[in-house]
Amino acid sequence: MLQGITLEVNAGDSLAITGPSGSGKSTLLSLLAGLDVPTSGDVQLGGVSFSQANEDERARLRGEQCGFVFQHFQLINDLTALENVMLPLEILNRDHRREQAMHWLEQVGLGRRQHHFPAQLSGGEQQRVALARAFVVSPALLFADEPTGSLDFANGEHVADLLFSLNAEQKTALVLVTHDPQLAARCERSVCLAEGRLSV
Amino acid sequence: MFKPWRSPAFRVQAIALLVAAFAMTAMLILRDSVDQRFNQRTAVALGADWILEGTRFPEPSQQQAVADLRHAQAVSFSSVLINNDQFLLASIRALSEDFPLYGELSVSDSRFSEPYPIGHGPKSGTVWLAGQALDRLGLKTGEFITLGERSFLITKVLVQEPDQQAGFYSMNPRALIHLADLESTAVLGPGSRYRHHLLVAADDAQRTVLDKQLSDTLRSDQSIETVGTTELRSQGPVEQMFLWSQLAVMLVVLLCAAAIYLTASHRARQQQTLCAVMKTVGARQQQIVRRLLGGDVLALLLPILAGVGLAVLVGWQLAALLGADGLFVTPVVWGLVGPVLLWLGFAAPTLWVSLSLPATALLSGREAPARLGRRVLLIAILTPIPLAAIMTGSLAALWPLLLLTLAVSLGLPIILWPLVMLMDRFSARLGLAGRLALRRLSRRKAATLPLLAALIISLSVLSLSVQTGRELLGDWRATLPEQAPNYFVINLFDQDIDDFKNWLTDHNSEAQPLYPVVRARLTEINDQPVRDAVTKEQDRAERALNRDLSLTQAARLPESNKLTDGRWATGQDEVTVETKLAESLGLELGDSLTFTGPGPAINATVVGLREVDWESFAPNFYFIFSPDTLKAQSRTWITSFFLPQVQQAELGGLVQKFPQISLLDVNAILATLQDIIGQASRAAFVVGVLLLLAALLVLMAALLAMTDTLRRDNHLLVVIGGRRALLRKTAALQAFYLFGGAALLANLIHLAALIPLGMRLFDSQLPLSPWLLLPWSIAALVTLAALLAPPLMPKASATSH
Repeated sequence: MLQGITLEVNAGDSLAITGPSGSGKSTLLSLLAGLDVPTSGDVQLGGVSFSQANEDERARLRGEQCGFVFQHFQLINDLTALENVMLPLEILNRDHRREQAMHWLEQVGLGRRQHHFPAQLSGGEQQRVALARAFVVSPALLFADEPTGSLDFANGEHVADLLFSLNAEQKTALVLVTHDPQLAARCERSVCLAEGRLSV
Repeated sequence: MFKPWRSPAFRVQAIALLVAAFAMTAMLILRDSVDQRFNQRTAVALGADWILEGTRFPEPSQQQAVADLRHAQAVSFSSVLINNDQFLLASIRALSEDFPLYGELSVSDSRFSEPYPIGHGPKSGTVWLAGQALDRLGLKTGEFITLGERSFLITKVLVQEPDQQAGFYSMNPRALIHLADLESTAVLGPGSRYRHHLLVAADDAQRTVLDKQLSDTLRSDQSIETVGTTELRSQGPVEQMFLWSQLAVMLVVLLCAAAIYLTASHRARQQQTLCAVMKTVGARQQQIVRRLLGGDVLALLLPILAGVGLAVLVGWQLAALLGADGLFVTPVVWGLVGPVLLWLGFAAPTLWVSLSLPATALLSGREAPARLGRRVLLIAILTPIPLAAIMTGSLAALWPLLLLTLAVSLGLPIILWPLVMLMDRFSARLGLAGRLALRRLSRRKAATLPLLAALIISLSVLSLSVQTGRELLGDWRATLPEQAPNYFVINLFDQDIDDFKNWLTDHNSEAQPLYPVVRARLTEINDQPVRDAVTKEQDRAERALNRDLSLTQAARLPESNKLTDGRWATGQDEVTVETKLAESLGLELGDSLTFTGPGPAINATVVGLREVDWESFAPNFYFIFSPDTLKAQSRTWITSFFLPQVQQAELGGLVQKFPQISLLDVNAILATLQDIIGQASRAAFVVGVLLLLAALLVLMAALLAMTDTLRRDNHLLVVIGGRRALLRKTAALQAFYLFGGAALLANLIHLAALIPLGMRLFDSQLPLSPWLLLPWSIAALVTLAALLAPPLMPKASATSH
């Protein structure tokens, strides 16, 4: 499905991947995040090859080095906002997770809504919780898949501002998949995926 | 027909309908078979289908009303039989030509010859006497005996009457004569005490007509008893058994209904696209319904038929056991109607509402308007009413069942609500897997509470039924002393005592003390007629007032008794009373009691109350008088003794030596009891399995409803770095919390049910059993299955657009 793709993302980079529906953006994102492995070629994260690692090792690498923001927020409905943010820290078994999660919730302006469940939050608030969850592990690489796709204009702008400012503060590399040319323009680099091939 | 089976939601519905069809049909077959058998036995036990009972002969108009029906008459009274200078108080029964309407008498031609059945009573001028009467008067068949002013030829020895309800202590020997001879005896005059029974053989319709015709003509001394209204039936354990088993089946059916209800919207979603496409190409509503619902209805007939078929197979076994005819037309018809109603009430409305939405709403996945949702819920709430009506078959039994069903199906979840809330609070302190597992339950109370309640009930029924069926009676017997009395002997005469004691000594057998027994009724309390004095309407009081009581006297407090108030009766005309009976009669120390029997009236003052250990295998009494109080009364003797099983053959000699005695074999009674408990436990176990199966169906339906969420959550956990072990651990913990929690609460119910038994039979110790671990083993199995099952993951990536 994807052919001849060579892509390097360095620390602090921001890269937008655009392209029409069915062009393979999701497949590329899955490969980059180690959710899938390529049939040929290799994807490396910090010098470690995803193809050489088994599923649990890839999961550990992702947990330690990557953050994710999705179009449909992907919060766990049975956990509170604070617990959703704590989730990656708990998986990595880090110390002071409650304090760190609280810090990030405050960073996105939701400190007072820590005990609310996702169903009790608006779409914009849920996406801000997702942002806090993505940044709480201080990831080297942040994958954002249409992060404003499910939000109205105002909320979309707010979330995008937050995403780019946190990215700049944390010096995190950002890989952004989007249809929105304005959002893509805010990235330093932009590539277009069409019929499985990349063009700059 | 086969296409719907591809859908997991449909498969859950199909299994739920199979289970419901089986449970309902089996219940209806059981009811039908027991009813049939019970009616036969009740009619035989009563001697008729319809009885007019009174203390005088019926009015001519009443006799006229039954003239066209098969009927008989019986007059019962106590009188004295005379042979030369010997007198014997006997219970006389004068029978008309057509007696008995049902069953047969059992007679023998001489005292110890083989008894045989006979379909009529004695001819005019003859008498049939019970063996005891012959023994006590020293007579044999072929000789004459006098009753009042008439002499009768003894032609047969009476062994048993078909409608005899003499009971354990009605020991006045019976004599049967022809009704036509009654007047010539001149024993009954104005004011004589006797009871007249007009016995009628009548079907349901004829009974109804008789009731209508005669209920207004009844005198104050008259009452009507029928096979339908007899106390045996309305207050007996059979109705109780039906109520509880119907409740269990209702719970099974409601759980199946819950599974159907939960899967209905899932099934509707699967059909939405096809429905929308049909609508856009111009299909009419009728075509859509025929295509989408028709397929489901046809395919669901198969599991319904299978469930009914299985129940019929079980029913044949049951009918063979009960002696019923094995023709189950009505149960099968209702067994088919019930599950159809279940589907119409719990699945069809959801499917209908979903499919009646406009095509655009269907394609965009829009929910049905709340107004329609409320209608669906209302139909679901009302559907159990016709289902319960099918099961009970009568309006009188319907409401208790519905109320009980409502109490259990709402009561238990309400009790569990705070527990689940507490779990929710507690979950914040748990690790990720534990918290997530607990929250998946506590955040879905609508599914978790009924599921938990169903599991608790089914697991406790399972463990209790296995323990009671297999161990309890054996455990209890093991607690008895090795030489606990195993035979009761009643009806010993004064002159037998020395010989009887010698027989026991010869057989190295030790007896409990011998107690004299005098039969009399409690007639006055503090000189007031007992009916006016006793205001409490309690069973125990009713039982004590409506029959002859066995009274005794003793110098010492029996070992199995404990004085709880007052003192032991030692002075002249004093009596001690069993505490619970005293309570139900409202008796207090110092009350004076009058008993009336065949001898002079017995008067005594209550000086003490006793607690009685009824399981001691020693003779026990409600009233024990001070020594000599009963000396003027006609009496027999009772005791119990131990004889090893190997010496059982020796009992033949005892009976031959004292032919009038009755021997009660405790082991035989316990074996029968064990058999009854065993059968009841097996039935309860089947109910428990059905309940568990239905609960698992609800679990499957609930899992199906949350499949999408589980897939999404699991995938997210993997995306952000979670290992698959975390997913397995979460699933296993979720199963453990649900089934472990149910097992724990089932254990508590199990133990709570054993407490009264422990108090009564096991010296206040709980009869613990390894079967308490049964719910835990089921919990362990389910947890293990959840741990080993592959975690649910989405077919498409969570990052997809």
